[in-house]
Amino acid sequence: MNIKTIENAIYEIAPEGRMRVPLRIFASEKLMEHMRTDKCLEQGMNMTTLPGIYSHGVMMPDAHQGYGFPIGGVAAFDIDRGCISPGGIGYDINCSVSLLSTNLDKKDMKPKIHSVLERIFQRVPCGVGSEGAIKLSFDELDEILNTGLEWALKKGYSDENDKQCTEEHGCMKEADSDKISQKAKERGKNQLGTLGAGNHFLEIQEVDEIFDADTAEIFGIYHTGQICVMIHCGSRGLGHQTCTDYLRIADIRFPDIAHGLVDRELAYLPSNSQEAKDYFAAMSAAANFAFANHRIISWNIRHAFRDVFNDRVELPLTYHIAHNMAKKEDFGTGHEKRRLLVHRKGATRALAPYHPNNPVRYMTTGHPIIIPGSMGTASYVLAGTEKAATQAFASTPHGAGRLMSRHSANRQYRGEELKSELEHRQIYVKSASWRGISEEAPGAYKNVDEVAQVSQTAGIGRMVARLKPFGVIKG
Amino acid sequence: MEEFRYLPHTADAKFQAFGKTFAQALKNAGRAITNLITDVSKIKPLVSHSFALTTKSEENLVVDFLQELLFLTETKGFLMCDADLKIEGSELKAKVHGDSIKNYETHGQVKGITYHNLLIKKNSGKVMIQVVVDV
Repeated sequence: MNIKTIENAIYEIAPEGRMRVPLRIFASEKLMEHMRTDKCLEQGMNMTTLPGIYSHGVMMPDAHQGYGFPIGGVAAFDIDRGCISPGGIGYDINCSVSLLSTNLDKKDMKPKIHSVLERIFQRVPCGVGSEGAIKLSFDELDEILNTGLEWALKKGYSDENDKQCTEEHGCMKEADSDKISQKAKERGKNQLGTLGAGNHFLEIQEVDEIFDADTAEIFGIYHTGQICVMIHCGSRGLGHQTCTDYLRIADIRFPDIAHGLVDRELAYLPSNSQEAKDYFAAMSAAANFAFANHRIISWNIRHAFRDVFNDRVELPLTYHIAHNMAKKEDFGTGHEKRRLLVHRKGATRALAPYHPNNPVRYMTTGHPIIIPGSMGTASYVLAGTEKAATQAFASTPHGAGRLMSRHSANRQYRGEELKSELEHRQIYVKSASWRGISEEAPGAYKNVDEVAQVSQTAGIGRMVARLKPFGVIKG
Repeated sequence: MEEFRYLPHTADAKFQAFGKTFAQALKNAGRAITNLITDVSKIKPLVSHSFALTTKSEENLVVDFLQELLFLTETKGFLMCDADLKIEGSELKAKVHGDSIKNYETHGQVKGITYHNLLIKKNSGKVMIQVVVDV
């Protein structure tokens, strides 16, 4: 592969073989070196072989090997003559991050951190096979699939600020619960309000550094030492089953397409097919499940804090942003304007200031972008830029990206030692299992500071604040 | 004969399962999946579930069988440790044995079975099934 440097922190691979368009890679030299150690660059090139791909494929600074699309891959397709690829969205549809700010300071939190973690651990089920406290009928589940956050609002789990500060206001309008299989519904029915395991977590954080005070204030971040809470999870078993179901539909209904692919996991549904419309409706419904899930978890977190502090503690939502999703978005202006289906797999939407889809509150800054780090390292809050819109289909990285397989991480790190090491640094971990800690060791991930810095250098994100963990809950 | 082994993969889990026959390798692939969740050697075969699958290819059969185990874990809290598998043409009749997840400490989860790098290799007296799963 012939990789050229276009400008500082931006590389490009010109079309070769079956690539239809170039692949643009946002990375530092060091992050590029990491990318060369697994198959993600090859996967990025494979992604650009799909029909109807527009202009160029994109890889984010935290990109790493997934299946089919690289994690950290972005590709935009012609709405009518392109395709939709379930693997290009991922199994965990609408795996996403919420950030709550608070009116607490670290000095308020320090004497009560263990109590708060304990209360959250009791209220928010996590770990493998965990079931939520909310028992749903299938009818109620359908309502959640069709309306997302609106259901949570109606039931008193959410508020108007949550809605304004959630991507798509917490409801993908084209959702259709009829397009979700019975199997997926059975998997998801008892999981509302649960965190899951793997790299999903809740984190109590403190603001470590503020880079742009004016924007930070608009985002609800006022001073260093301020306590925030971050939630990272998605659509649980329901989303996973939905991806599986539609990959099988692609395989059965379009066998010629399947045989012609450079990688089977790139299976797609042609845009003008009923199956593509069905999958978009199903994906939207699964996304709505995740929107509702986050609001239930936030509700439980708010109550956990109020149990320990008092009713004066406030935890407003700063933003809830998706990183495994396909969205119909407009790019360009005038005659050049076109609607594209943007696949973001392990990448985050990043609207520039004054984009009409920003919440009113964030119109002058663009909505917050949240990049969670790994356990024991920092997270970042950024804002979008015009350059992200023109060069990266309004996308930024979603996290630090893995460096090391879970298998290797388990061999290199021990959960008990890590927990103790983190406690020494005043980071308190509560996990459903020791392996849940060792697999998520900071050393298993790329350097999140570098990922955030490269986003800024490449011009696809503007650093607003850095948060560091104080308490972590893991499945 | 080794039942299964894990291979490096940055974000997901990759394994190879082995057997003298396809059915035995498939059973061990199921055990490899369980072992991503908890120590499969500790699971007692106290509960059984039966199901049948019909698919158009052996690759689809592998994915469907493992996906069904995942479904049983999430909806019935079931973890498989053993299986009686009968494969006739494109039909599989399965009786899987295991126990409730509540009785074991878990250390991971499996989100989905992928087709990525899915391989079935048959040499005389040995079958290998390779799978990558989303964790």
